[in-house]
Amino acid sequence: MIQFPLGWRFFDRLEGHHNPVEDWYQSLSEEGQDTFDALLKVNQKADSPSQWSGSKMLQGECKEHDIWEWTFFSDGRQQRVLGVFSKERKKAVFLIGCYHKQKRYTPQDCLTTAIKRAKTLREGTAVLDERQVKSNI
Amino acid sequence: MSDRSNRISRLLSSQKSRTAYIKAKLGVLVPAQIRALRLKSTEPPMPRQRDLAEEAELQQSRISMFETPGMANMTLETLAKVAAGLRSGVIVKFVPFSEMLAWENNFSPGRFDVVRLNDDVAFINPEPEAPALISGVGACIGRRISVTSTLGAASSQMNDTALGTIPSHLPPTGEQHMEMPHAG
Repeated sequence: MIQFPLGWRFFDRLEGHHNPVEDWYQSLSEEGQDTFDALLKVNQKADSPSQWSGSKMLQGECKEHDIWEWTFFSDGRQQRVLGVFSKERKKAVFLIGCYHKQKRYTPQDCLTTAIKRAKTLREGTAVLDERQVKSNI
Repeated sequence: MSDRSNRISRLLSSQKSRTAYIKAKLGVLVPAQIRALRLKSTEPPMPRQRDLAEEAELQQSRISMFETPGMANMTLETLAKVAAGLRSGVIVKFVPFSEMLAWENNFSPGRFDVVRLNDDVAFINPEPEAPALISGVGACIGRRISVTSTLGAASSQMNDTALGTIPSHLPPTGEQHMEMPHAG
């Protein structure tokens, strides 16, 4: 497997032993999974988050917690992955995956869940699992 | 069986799987290139999507879509408009899967840039072209061919049994006669 030196590392925030980000990933179609994998691969090599493709900082209460989201389109809707930066350099943590259609997130409590999870990360109580970037496929 | 083996197996057996794979790569790499080129543009600078929209004569909302992974099914015409707005060329090229993967693995949004038309000396004011002679035309099996070239121009005569490729290291001037061995 090719390693990208000094690249971003991505982590999923776990709920106990459960990984809700992986659940969201597994719910995607093959094309959706491939798109997310490709996005991880490209964004991993960005020098700064401003170069990330499909990303933006969220507004409102999410902004207070420095929550951003990645957007990509698959399975007939906008998929969104919400995350925050870790204190460590070039380390990003995904909090939740969801989709967005007609100005509504599904699950509907997506933003509040992301905020709760971001808080636990700041408090140092969150458990993380590193997401592998599939550079060989 | 590993993830990769599973994926390869599906790619080999399923057209739908191949389509999904290719679409996913294009859906991420095309927007990433557009965004990278827009942000690196200096003449004119394009820090905002609407800057590119003006250059490409498109709506800002469309540029936003084109920069969102997987969002837009761009037509070749739209792709040409965006490339023109960025003052870059664009190639749509069919390649082996391995080459597509290598391109993706080597692509970096920070490093990716293209010489823009204004600075593209090789296009605007190219060096006098070395005579390309008959590269790619084909080689003659078993017959004499005559290649006469002058600087910047080349001509060749060969018979209709031409096959394969003629070496392209012929001197740029003068007349060359190459004896090709008989086949078989």
